[in-house]
Amino acid sequence: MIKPIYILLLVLVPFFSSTPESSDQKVADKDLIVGNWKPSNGRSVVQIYKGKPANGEDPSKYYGKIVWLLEPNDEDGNPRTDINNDDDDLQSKPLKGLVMVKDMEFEEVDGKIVTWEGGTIYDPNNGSTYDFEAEINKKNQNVMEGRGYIGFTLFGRTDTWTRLVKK
Amino acid sequence: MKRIVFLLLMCPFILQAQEDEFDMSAFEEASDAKTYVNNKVLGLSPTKLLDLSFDYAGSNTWETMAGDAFSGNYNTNESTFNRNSGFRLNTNYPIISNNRLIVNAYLNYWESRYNTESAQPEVGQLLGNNPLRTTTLGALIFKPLNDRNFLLFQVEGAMNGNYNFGSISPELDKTKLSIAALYGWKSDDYTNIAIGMSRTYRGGRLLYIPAFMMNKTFNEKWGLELLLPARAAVRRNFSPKSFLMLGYELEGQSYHLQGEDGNSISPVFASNATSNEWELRKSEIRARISWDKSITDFIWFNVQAGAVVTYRMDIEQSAGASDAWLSNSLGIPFYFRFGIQLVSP
Repeated sequence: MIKPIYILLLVLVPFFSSTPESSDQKVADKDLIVGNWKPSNGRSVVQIYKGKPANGEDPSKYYGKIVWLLEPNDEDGNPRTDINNDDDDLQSKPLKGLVMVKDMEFEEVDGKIVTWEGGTIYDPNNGSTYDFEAEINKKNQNVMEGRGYIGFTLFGRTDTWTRLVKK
Repeated sequence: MKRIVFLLLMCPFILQAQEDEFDMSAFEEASDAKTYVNNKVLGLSPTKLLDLSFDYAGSNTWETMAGDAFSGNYNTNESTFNRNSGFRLNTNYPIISNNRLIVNAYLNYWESRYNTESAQPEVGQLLGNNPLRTTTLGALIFKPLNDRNFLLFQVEGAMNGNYNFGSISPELDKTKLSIAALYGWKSDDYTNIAIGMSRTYRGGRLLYIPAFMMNKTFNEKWGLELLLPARAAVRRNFSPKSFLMLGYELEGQSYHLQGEDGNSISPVFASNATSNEWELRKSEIRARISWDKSITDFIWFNVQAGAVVTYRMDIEQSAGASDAWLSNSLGIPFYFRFGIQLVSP
């Protein structure tokens, strides 16, 4: 005989554990940033998620990790690692799975524009870390304008990231 | 039974773990997104937002002779200059930066101070008293057309002369306009090529010439950066934050020369020239080796050294004249430059 509590859990757990995958779903404005994004160069996919305390991350902030690489292996056929990192100990860390966006905080909703600020972004192509902010226009929730900058937003570059949705 | 129920309960978490293994084939870009080519070539030397440098060319011979327009009126004069040096400040502000358009505005200020050994009055003393100054305001526009092709525009106005903001004022109506327009292809993340036309003063005089750009990264160590005829270099990367460049740069401008307080620039011209409007047409090739290295993530230094080959250094009347009044023949001095830079993400 299965106890009623197990039956209840069987029914409820899938709902609580499901994750948003489609831009069509109604999600809170501040979570619009959550999802899989492809930077303009098309060489990777970055998965933005809410911080996981188990990983030492702040659940009120947003993080992004590399989940896909156009060229996953180096010239020798080995998985690419973070070879340009200034820290020698981290150079053997695989690029796939690397958390490159950190500490993004939801800032505000100004009209149709939703912004996140206060984060950093790491560029594995040169091993440098920049300040990072992002905005999404609610009229087109599949496009994110991410800006890496140095101290002041004036000194930076904006890149358009495209949301990936399930086929 | 409890074991089965436990497994069933864990199913969502197992599925979640499987989602961590991202399957690209199950995803597609949102339908309303359009892909555009970007201006980045992997391995390319970084864009500088700020660049402050000091340029120094060593002592050299200097021979001044009459040009075709002044033939018979001037005896060749030989002298030397101890050094030609000055600070250069280049700034680069991204005004618009997104996938559909990149517009960078820049404001540059260069000084070129001559220190002459035996001051020849016609040129040496003139330039010794007041350095050549260049103030440039410009914009560089990158417009992607699709996921492969792009347009590149550059427009700049340069106020060049021996103005000193006191007894010699800069004259806005003498601003030199340079323009370049190129059409390009980015064949892959390691190569872009563009061809077009330019209106330029790099030869000292105004020229309309073809322009060719090619940036190519062959592998992690070697690359090529061409913007012909302005510059060309072979790049040797030691890391993304340290590289050597071996090549040349063609530097040139037409400088509006003025005498102090409206006087003639030289007594020898006073009784011969039809106007007191003069230009120094200067063009030089700098063959060089250059080393760029990061100090921190954003702050880099550059040190370069080489030789200055002066191709043209003529004094001409501003309006309509094509012949030089005085031509200057300089030797080939050693030069070096040291700069601190703030590089773009």
